Amino acid sequence: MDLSYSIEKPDWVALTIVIEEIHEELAQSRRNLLYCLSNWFLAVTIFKRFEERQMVMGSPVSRDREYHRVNLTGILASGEKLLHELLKHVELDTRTVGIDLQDVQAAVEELRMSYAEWFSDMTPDRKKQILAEVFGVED
Amino acid sequence: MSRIELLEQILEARFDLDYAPRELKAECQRRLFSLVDKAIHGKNVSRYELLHSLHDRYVQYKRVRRKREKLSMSQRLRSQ
Repeated sequence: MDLSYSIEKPDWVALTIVIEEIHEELAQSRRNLLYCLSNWFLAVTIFKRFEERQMVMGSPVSRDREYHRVNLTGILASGEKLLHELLKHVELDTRTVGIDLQDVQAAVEELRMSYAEWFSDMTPDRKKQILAEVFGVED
Repeated sequence: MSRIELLEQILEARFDLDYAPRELKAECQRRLFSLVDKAIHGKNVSRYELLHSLHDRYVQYKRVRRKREKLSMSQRLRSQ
């Protein structure tokens, strides 16, 4: 991926670096899991702010869409890894960093759902069919 | 509840989950899934398929609601 600095939209690049750093820390087990969990939640918060600004409130161009997909994939992968490790290490209590395990599970599930919402491969006809069948509305 | 009301409630619940503080994520997710499950009950549609089908509407809903919230906040700040 091109990580070169862009004066117009430096934010995606910065976010990508943060997410890659968290991924790296998790992969190498350099830090304890609860520390990684706090960092991951912070990265999710920043990601969602960028997503809102660039993808919802703004007019995204292909570069935004590409970085959005890359960063969502990266943050989801780190979340899955974290959750997997937390479920293995039952002695760790996530409540010591102010969060219940079920909320970590829900946060990871929310990212899976978000990926499906943004990037699922569904034909326009199938989408129309679902909306008509479930809500009786047109696309 | 009419089907349109259910659709509106799903969009609202999706928004609530989107902006929920981390300690309320599970609770908000349960509410959203319960509404989605109600909508797809007896139909050959999965949760993710339904949410993907609603995504364009949700983005529009979120845009309008966030603009309204930001406007209302700036009006409150100006009046202080």
